[in-house]
Amino acid sequence: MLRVPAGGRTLADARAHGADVRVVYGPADALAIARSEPDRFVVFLGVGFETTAPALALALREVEASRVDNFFVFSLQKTVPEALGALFAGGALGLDGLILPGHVATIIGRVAFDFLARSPGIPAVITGFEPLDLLHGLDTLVGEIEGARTRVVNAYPRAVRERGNATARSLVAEYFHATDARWRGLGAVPESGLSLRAEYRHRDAEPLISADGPWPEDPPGCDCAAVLTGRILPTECTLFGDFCTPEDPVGPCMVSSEGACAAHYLYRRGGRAHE
Amino acid sequence: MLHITFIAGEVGHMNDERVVELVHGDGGGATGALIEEVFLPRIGNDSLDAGEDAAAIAGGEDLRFTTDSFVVSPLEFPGGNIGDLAIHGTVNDLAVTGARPKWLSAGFILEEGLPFSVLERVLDTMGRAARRAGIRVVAADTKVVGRGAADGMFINTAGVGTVLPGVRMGFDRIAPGDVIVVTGSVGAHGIAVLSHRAGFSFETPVESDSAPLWPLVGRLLEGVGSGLRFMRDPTRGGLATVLSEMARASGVDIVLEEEALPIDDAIDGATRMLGLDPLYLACEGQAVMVVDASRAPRVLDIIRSTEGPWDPAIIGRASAGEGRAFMSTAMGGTRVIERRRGDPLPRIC
Repeated sequence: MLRVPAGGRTLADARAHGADVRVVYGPADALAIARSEPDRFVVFLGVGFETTAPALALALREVEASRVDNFFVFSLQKTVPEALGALFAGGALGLDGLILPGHVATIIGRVAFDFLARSPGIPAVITGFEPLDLLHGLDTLVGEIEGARTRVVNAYPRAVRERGNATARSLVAEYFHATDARWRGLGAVPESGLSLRAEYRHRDAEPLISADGPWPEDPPGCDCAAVLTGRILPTECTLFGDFCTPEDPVGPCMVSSEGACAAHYLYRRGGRAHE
Repeated sequence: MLHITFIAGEVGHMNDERVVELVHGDGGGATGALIEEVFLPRIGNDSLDAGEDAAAIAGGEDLRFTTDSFVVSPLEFPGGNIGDLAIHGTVNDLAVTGARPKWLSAGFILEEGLPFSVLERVLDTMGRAARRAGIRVVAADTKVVGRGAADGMFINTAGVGTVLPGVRMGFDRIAPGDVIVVTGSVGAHGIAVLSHRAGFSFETPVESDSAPLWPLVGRLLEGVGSGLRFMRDPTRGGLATVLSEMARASGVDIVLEEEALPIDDAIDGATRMLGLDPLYLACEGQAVMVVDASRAPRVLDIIRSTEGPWDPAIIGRASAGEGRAFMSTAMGGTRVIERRRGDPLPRIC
């Protein structure tokens, strides 16, 4: 997150110019900072998906109970099924099957993905993250494709239940409600974000940090949006490798080793990666 | 997953002026660029440009000279403190170039308000570490700065050592067929420091591996001589950064075997919990070396019979290629190993 550019700047830049930006492992650590520095406003940047939202909801419950009045949340949390819906609403992508995120599914359950069987109507498999889980998921998906079955299979049953984790979901629903959210590549997607409920508005950092004005546009020439929606390969972006590298990324796909562009950069053939 | 917290308050107006960022201290690519683009053009010369851990300098004997600064936070951590770290860091930079550590200078920057008890503990540890490594502290300086101008204390040490006769280690001696040996489990120092840091505190039995690589390196050089091709201590940038730089500078490929890596169970547990890669965690008492394959068994024997935090293993080999580093994973895949990029964990040493 520190190195992700937006509007030409990063949080690391802001920190070097004097902003107090700290990396923590979770909301509980941010809450500890708020408690130990009561004279300062502490804003937790809530970036994540269904997996991280319950921990933030728990921190909010604790904050409300203990009346820590200098802890705020800037919620940019997003939900996966709505984004998948928007992705396929944009037209044919030429996909044969889908690997679905196992950890998100532990919260929302297998059934939350059932809509994929109707549209786009291609095989989908919920997969874990360890190497064997991934191989098992791929093997299952190939079987589904060969059998021309269009259903959502749970290949990660040791963690994912049919209906997910009801406790976590109700905790999230207590503090957040679905709201329109912007996604890079997809634009505004209805009901795909999580905002604080009105009764917890006093914890919302947005009014404090005056995050008004237009959202930053993608840098000129940056095709992250097309990469993220599967319309082009990273190597087809005109900035790739010459103007945009992992050492000096222009768009977010080049930042972390998990980004599509960074992975293509590192593993492309021809040896240019080390120049 | 790491999360971000802002502490609202006075924020300097952002302009386009280039400023030093924490990433410039990552010990990897950003540090390399800073050195090459900003430092070397202004203060560089043959010795500095060579980029060795300790420079060769003219004198009556074959001398090596190096310096290192220590800003670790917290000052005291499981398995050590900034004092023994300041000795081991410089001793090890000399040792990996084949030099017997001889003389050391120490500069102290103390912050107003530092408890004497902490200062005394640090100096006690420092004295013990120096004696153990056989290096004499022959010059020292102390400055005190106002509260807020330093975080407790910072230490700079510089060291001079004498190279054992006939030793020649360097990137140019690495050849296809050589094997890669690491002295022990990687990542202990990084995990130990992290476990006691505000915002990260967690329970772990892991202690820092802070230890001197001398006399170990002396014994290795006596035992296998020119069978040692190259050696470095994987500090800030971790094992990955050393291997990547080794491959880049020598022009041969380095191929690591994931399953051969010695990683202590407690370190393995902590890195999995925190989502950190042990290949990028700092060590302060380990060396990674390139060894003539026929001498590797002898190297392992010598390390095992020397007292220290060691559990040596052959972790890979050098092969003809284009100067890249890879890891063969336990699942049969191949991962590219890169220099460290960015640093979520600054002030580790």
